[in-house]
Amino acid sequence: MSLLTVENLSVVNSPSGRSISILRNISFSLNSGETLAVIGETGSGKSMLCKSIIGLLPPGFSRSGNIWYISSDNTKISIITAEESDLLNMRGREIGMVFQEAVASLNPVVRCGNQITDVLSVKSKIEKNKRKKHALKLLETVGLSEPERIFHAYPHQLSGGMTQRVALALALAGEPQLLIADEPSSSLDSISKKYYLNLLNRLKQENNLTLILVTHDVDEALSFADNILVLYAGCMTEYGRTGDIQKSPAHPYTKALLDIARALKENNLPAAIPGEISSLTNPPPGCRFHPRCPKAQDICRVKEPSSICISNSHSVRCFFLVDLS
Amino acid sequence: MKRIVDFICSDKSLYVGSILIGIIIIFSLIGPSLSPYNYSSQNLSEALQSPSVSHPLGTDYYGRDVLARMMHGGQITLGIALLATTIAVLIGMIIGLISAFVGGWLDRILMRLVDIMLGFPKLFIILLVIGMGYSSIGLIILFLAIFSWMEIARIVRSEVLVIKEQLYIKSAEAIGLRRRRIIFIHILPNVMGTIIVSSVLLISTLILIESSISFLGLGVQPPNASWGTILTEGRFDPIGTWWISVFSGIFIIAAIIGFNLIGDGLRNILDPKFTGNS
Amino acid sequence: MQAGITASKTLLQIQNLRIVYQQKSTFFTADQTVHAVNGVSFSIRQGESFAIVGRSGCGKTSIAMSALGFVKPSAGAISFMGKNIWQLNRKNIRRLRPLIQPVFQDYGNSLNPRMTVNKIIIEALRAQPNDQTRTGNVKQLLDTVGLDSEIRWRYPHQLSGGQKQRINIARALALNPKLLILDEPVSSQDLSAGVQLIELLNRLKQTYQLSYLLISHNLSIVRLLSDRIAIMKNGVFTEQGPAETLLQHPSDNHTKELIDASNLTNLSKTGLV
Repeated sequence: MSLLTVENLSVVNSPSGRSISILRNISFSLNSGETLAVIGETGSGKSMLCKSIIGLLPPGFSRSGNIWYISSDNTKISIITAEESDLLNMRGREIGMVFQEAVASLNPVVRCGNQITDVLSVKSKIEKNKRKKHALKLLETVGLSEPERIFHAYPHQLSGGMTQRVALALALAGEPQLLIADEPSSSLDSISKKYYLNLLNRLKQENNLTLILVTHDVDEALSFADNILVLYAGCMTEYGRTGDIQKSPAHPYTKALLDIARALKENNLPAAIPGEISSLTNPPPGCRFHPRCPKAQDICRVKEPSSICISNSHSVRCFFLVDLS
Repeated sequence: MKRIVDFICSDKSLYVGSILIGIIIIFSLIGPSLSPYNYSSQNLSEALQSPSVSHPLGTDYYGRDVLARMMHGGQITLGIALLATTIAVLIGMIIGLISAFVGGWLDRILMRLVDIMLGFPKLFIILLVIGMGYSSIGLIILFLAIFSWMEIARIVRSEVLVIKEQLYIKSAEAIGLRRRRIIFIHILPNVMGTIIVSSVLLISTLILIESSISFLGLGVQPPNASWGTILTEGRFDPIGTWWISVFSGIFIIAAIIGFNLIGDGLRNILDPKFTGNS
Repeated sequence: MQAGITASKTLLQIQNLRIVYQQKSTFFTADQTVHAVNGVSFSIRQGESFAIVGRSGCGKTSIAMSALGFVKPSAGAISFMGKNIWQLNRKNIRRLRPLIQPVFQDYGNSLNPRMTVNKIIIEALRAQPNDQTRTGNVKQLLDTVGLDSEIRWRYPHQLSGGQKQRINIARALALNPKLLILDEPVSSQDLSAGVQLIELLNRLKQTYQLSYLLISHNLSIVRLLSDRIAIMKNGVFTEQGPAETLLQHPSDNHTKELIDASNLTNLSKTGLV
């Protein structure tokens, strides 16, 4: 059964009378225990997607469409229409979140351990005298070998990889079903990054976590996720099972990204996608990818493609699909 | 001109504040040439008249038109506050820059000087010196300036210390630019926003201080009058001659609110979070 | 290409470099001494690209900052074109400075937010004290880095990440440098923009016989940009050699670890590398 179902989600920002479309008609569903990777360039709306799922859009942004979530007591909740107090309850306990800048998401003047016990006191039923023990266990679960030392350390005393793991422990403290990780590894060096991904992988298995991983690293998405959603300038260009997308990408943009990633791995310098990502404030008419698309025709410049289902788990928005043979 | 209007309209408090201060400035600068009365010419036969058509704000003990005196008082009050602020900002910027750039012992000495100056009870010292008989508008300006540059110096120093470490300063150093150019082209413009905001807020503080000492009779002396001086003239019979104190009080409050609104508005606009989509 | 490198002369030579940071005690902490760089030696020839690879905190950025003249070495020598840059007088430093230019990872913060692209580049052009051999006007420089000349009227916040980094490169080129110090030049870029930058850097190196000192933690990028690689850990080089040999036949464990980390296909479920 799908834990999270997003239907035709659109996000609009309207500063001073103009309306800027940040996300357009995003639809996907995520089964319990599975991982969805959201990939796209800077400015494609990846972070906005996370924020609208958790209900933390900045002022001036509005959502339309539907987001359904099945809570742990099996009730179906519409996140868009839910009361703020219910959402507040859900954050941490049902849906956890990890941000790119772990150091910025931790309070600099509170010891790491106390930040975790704080969350435990609000988001779990663990008795007061057992909270510290539980916090130490959490720190150990996220692969920190000296939990006692980390417990008493301030965030700035730890390395980047360590703070990112403390932030993960913090997100897991409320035992959420769904974890949203917004580029958690992009500020880490390659060894810490791989360690972190391995760790996420293990935690996912152990806790039956459902995961949304936002990343601009195609490799990371391919090796980690069950499903992939490709965003381009706020539009969902392609969505499907990782295997299908890796084997037969249908959208020219997806194909270009995969080609680059593959070539880099084979130690070749690939051809880049020409041009720059189109701006959200002044998007091109028609398909937003057409200025950079090798297959663009006249129709792409005027008409926005609708979603085509290639199979029941693979959909794409393009008039001229990449040859599937 | 259109750009200035657009800029002012982009924030509500800046808009309201600018209109308020604009009215006060036009009133004080252009008003006297339109008024049939002189601020200092006495006419005892018309003393203590309540507001009427010929004297919209009434007259005082000596039969002087309060409206004409308010216009003149505006020039004095605003003039003192603006001049003192300018001097204070200049001193503060110089000290702050030296402190941030030279560093070391000079920085420590200058910052202790700031602490000492902030520790002085400035109102008391101003009262003491003026009470000894040395009172002139120039002296008041000088005193206000000497006792209010410290905040600016601190702000400039801390901002410069932050900006100095930014990579675009490192890049400018790597290009081989001279230090003077780095300070004036790369650092100061990026500090300017904060300086402007705190100077505008300083103006309103200084209006208040000047009004207080003038109210105590130690500030601006006759025949000149500031709003504080006029305020004090109504104190003998605050109910019977209410118009003297009430109108000057309103002007003082309006000016302070106006400058504070401008300061808040500028702070909103110059906040880095807002510059991203200009 | 390879023959050209061996024939050309040494541009930057670093001998036994040590950098120690003293952290003064505060109310809460005791005095601390951090040995960031602990005896490092290498040299870069003209037209050669040398990469220092290591995890964050291994000391690689300290070396770059020291070569740029921002951090004073505690011991050792940094010579550029045969002159020890930390023993020059002011006038000679000013003459030498433009020849070593940085390109930082934090591309956004390296451009003054209150200056247009035009102003940023003109400023660099004017600061150029050496012979005008290949610098031109702003348009030409933007063209060299593959940007449309219309972009020169924009402010940094109106540019994409890739464009900002190109402006950084164009500003560096305006000074007619011999050595570019690239501190993680592409690691915070999007995939496609990163590839475009690597392409550009390789092309510039060929055209202008530029030398690069590349600082990075990402071997898959380093291998596309460098001729020789040094692996750094805890302030010292653990291994150093020609790029291909080192990556094909790593001898040090840390090198193997880094190579393994650049490959994400073999994620384990135990949570350990």
